[in-house]
Amino acid sequence: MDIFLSLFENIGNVSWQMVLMWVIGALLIYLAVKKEMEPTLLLPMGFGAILVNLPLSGAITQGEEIGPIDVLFNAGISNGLFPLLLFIGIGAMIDFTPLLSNPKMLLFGAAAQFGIFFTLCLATLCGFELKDAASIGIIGAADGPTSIFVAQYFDSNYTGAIMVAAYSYMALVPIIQPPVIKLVTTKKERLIRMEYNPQAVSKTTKILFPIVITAVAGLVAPKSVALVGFLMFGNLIRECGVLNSLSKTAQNELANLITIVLGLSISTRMQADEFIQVQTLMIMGLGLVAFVFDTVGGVLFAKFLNLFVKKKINPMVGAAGISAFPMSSRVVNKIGIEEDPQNYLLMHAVGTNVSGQIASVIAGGLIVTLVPLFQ
Amino acid sequence: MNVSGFIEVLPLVVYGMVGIFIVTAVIYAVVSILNKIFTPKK
Repeated sequence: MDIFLSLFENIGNVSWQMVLMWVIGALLIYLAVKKEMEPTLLLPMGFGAILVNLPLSGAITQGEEIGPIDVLFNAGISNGLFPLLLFIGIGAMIDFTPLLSNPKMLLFGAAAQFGIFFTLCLATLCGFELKDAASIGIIGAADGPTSIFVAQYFDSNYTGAIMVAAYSYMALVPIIQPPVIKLVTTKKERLIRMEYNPQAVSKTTKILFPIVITAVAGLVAPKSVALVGFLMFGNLIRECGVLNSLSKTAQNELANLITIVLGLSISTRMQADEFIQVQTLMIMGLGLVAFVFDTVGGVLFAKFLNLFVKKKINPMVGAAGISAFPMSSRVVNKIGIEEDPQNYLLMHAVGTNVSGQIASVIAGGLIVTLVPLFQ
Repeated sequence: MNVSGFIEVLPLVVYGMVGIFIVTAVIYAVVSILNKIFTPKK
């Protein structure tokens, strides 16, 4: 009888914090399945949150017994390997042609990273250590792998919360951005039409582009070379024209495999004692601030440029400078059509959106370069 | 509230944004040059 009862002893180890984490895990799975919010990451993270919060869970290290999720975490996240491998897949997925045909869009991508640095300062004001504040600010990169890379680079205490915030807000871009855009633009500005005369781009330019970007970013911010380089390597595989099989593998099998283990591995940082704290709520709030000020930064920069250019830019296009692709460009196009059914901003917004992907990675590299100088 | 910490990191906003604009401006210039040199065959 004692042996039989010992089978149920573990139930006594359940704490209310663990139960709360099961609820959070279930909520993430619900959002992934029912609302289709970033399901590729939120579902593994949600399941992982339940997995690691079962009392004495064998999935995570317990004393001398090494857990498989911790093995995965140490093998691929604590050293930044998984996000970088995922970048090869993402690079192979991105077509930079809209940006190459209109390269001035790159500047909007740069402006829309303002939320990262603004939030970094705000997080410092809220009492976070600089390394954690930098990791929280990078939520504004709207780019999961960059957020993971930076948070792990600084060995942040809040990686789990940062990941949940980053992926949740990326999925919520269609809800977050429209009111912010409308708040900082006038109806007259939203009605501005932009001609679209794409410049044809040669194959040589497309091949040289990833190489040049890596060299430029590497010379200015050497610590960004890993981030930028892996993204651009993926793009080079895509554009070179002789590695179609590798390109497809990077886009599909590699990206899918890494995504599966990435979400599960991150969940080791969602253990109740680490996750359930006031700081998690603050991080969720600061993450929202980062997305809002990214949007504001992009829009205001476009308005600033309008002071000097003859052909006016619809300031909403600046809002697409955040890295959340393609949601952000769709949002801008949708608002444009709502205001004027004949105003198609999609291609301008796509160019800005892909430039945001490059700029967010550069921002990540600059953060890891600059922050140690302030510590 | 860590006001002194906030003031200390404020220059980071300037350095960060200036850094991003410098890098993207260089990339913009390089891409423009590449587009001029390598025009697509018709």
